[in-house]
Amino acid sequence: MEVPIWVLVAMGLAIGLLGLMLWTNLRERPFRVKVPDLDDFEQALPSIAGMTRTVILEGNTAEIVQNGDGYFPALWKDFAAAREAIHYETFVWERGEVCDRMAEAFIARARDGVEVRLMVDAMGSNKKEPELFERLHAAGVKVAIYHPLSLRDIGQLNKRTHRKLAIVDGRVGYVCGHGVAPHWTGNGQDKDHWRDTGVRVTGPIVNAIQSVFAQHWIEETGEVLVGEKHFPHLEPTGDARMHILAGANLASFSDLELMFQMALATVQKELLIQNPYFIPDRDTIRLVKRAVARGVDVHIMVPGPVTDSPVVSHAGHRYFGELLDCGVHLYEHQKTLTHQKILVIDDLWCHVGSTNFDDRSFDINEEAGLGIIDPACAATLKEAFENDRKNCVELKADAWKKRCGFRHRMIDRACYLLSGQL
Amino acid sequence: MATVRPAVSRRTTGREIVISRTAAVFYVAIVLGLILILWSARRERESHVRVPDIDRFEEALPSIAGLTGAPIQAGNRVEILQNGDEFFPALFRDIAAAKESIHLETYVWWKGEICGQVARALADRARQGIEVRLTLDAVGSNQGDGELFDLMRKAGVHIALFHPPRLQDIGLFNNRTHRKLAIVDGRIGYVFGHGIAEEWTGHGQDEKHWRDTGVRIEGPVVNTIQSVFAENWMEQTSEVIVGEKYFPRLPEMGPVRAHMTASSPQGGVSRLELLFKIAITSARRELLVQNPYFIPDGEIVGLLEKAAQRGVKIRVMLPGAVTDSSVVRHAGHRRFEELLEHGIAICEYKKTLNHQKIMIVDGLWSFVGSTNFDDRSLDINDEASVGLIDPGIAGQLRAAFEKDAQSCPPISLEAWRQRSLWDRFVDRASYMINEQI
Repeated sequence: MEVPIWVLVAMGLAIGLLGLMLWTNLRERPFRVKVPDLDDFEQALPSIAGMTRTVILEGNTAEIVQNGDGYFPALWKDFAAAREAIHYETFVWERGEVCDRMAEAFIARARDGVEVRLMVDAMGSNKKEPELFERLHAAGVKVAIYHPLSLRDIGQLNKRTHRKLAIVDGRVGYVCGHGVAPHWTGNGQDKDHWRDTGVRVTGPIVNAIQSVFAQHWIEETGEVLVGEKHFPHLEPTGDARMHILAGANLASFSDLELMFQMALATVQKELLIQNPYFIPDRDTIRLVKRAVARGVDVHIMVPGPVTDSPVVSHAGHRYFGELLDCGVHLYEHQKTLTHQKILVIDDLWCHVGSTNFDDRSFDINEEAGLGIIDPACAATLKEAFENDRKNCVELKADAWKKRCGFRHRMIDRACYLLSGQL
Repeated sequence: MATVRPAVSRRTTGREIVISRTAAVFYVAIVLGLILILWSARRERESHVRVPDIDRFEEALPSIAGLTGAPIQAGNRVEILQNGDEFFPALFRDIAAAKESIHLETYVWWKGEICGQVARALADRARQGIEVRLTLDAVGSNQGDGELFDLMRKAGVHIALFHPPRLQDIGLFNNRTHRKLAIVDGRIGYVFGHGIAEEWTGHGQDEKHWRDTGVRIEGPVVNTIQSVFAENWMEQTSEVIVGEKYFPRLPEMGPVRAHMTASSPQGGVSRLELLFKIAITSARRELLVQNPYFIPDGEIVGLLEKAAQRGVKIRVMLPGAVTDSSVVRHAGHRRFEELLEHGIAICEYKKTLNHQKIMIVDGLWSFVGSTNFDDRSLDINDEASVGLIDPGIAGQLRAAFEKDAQSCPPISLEAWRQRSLWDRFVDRASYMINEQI
């Protein structure tokens, strides 16, 4: 059987064209944004909000919740007090005591007539037992699975919701790093109980947090959340100014990455970073160096021996030598995984949320973070940083060079090559 | 062809047939797999959005802001600009008075004297040291005069072409920016339907001079208009615009509450689609729609009918024979009978193309912008419309609607039912391709 050559060529071209269409749809565009120095933070604030497609809302109150011991009891209290609606969105949903307890709380409140909406990521909850979801469903809890693993959604497979949000009655909001799994209980005391940080807020910003929750909820269920019980008119409750950061977008530059870069561009005195997955790119390194050069103390804390992803750690090492050489303080936490995603800028502006410092968080996943402009909140987070530092080993440039031999460097580079997906 | 044939022809063996069949099956599987992934990555996750009843508009305002990602900002001064005769002179005045920066984004940049005037105005200011940024859609501006673009570039105007046709971006080719925005010094914002072309000059007097509407705004919402401009500017140029000259702190300037809604095809349900659906749902007395491309989907038709049933007086004004896209016009006809049966008044504007995209809800809440009432605007393109909550503004737009209605004989249900078979066929055929037009 002879196949003419032109048929083979046409067949090859068809595959090539389809492959090209697919690649151009899914590829990350190599954005190299140019962030100028922002000398005056207050003056730059409307620009920071405008460039990240949000506005600064005044009159909020923030309460930092540390680890599972701070987070879950606060949640239970707010769930128990809910009168109208409980909304919860999370990536990790893994069976265990805390998961069961949350499910029981949802079931109990749904039976009381409170509207309960639970959004879990299909990938993050893949160890779920369907029996639990059926029980939730039977009690009247509305459960939505984000980007279900079905054939028709195969092109969305890589895009997960990594957001961790809770909203009660549209009046209390949580923005956190915690997942719902045994690792997030306790007080960060050992390698099985992780360190994490969230924030409980009241005030006008809760409308914006609800708005982020509503995005995925509408996408998956078509239900539009309207009315006072979801978006009440919110009076000021305190002095903190806040802005929400959400979303990723393959075709344009990530709002969250831009915010991180603008934070590096505006810092004048001190910058604290805690992040479990810290894989900076060249542009970020350049901004860090510029900050150090103008006299900023930069302290970065990453996980040490306890990590759930050694590949990420290695990829992060790629620029450690360079950072240490320019005078950045790097710490590795020894006791447990520090999972919190924290930024503290000049004792004033801080960030709490779900966003890792890597391309997966910036460009692929759906994330949610909260910017908080409040000296009290910054002081609380700084104190926690100081406490964590007691369990850290500070890396030194000389020691790093010895530890980081040829073989180590090669592994780092190999891992860094994967960084687009990490 | 130089296909080398074996010297001795021999019969194909059974084994070779199995191999070639396996290869063929394999090939088809790969092609189908790629098509599936591509479709899945691109497909608009079909949104059967259920908007609950909205009884009290004021109470629903935070919901509307939250759902469309656009805060409602009080204290804006708004001026309505009808047709080219009011729009261009105002724009030229503000361009001439700019102290720091001029930003303009548009889809259409075709031909005509007006293009030269805009180009020279921008070039003059750029030469005087004003930062001028111009975002042009690569498709919408491809018939523009290259000399004018060169003139502007030489004068120092920064021009960004949105989604230029490049091999590595072929997957984005269908996504155009249809937004029409101008921002001067970060303090004055324009949101409009006008393109930069001869058709948009004049005052809608004849077929060659179209009818359109824009607004000029001063006040806090201008920060958000700038933010919408900055989105596509950064996407194309990587330039992050920060500082007082782009995002100043803006004092209150007038009585109008405003919210700027922009949408882009990435990720989830379109914000403008949601906004339009919420607007229809919230109407209690009267809903006026003027739109040049009106192809509502089943859900929007359902919401319009529900509104009509609860006593909302709905009037829709569309282009008649003067249109730049008769396919769109015919596709729109598809649902006319159903709408007319529900008592929704439809009329076709006779004099010229009415290109304005206006909606007025209950004499209070109005929309002006770039967004057509079809799937291309609501799901594919980048669009921007501004919502204005103010009885005075709604009153002015309503008066303009009434004036337009005078050259607009209404369509009666009976006359519509007596259309020829051919007309019906064209309508159906046009509707079938409606997602892309």
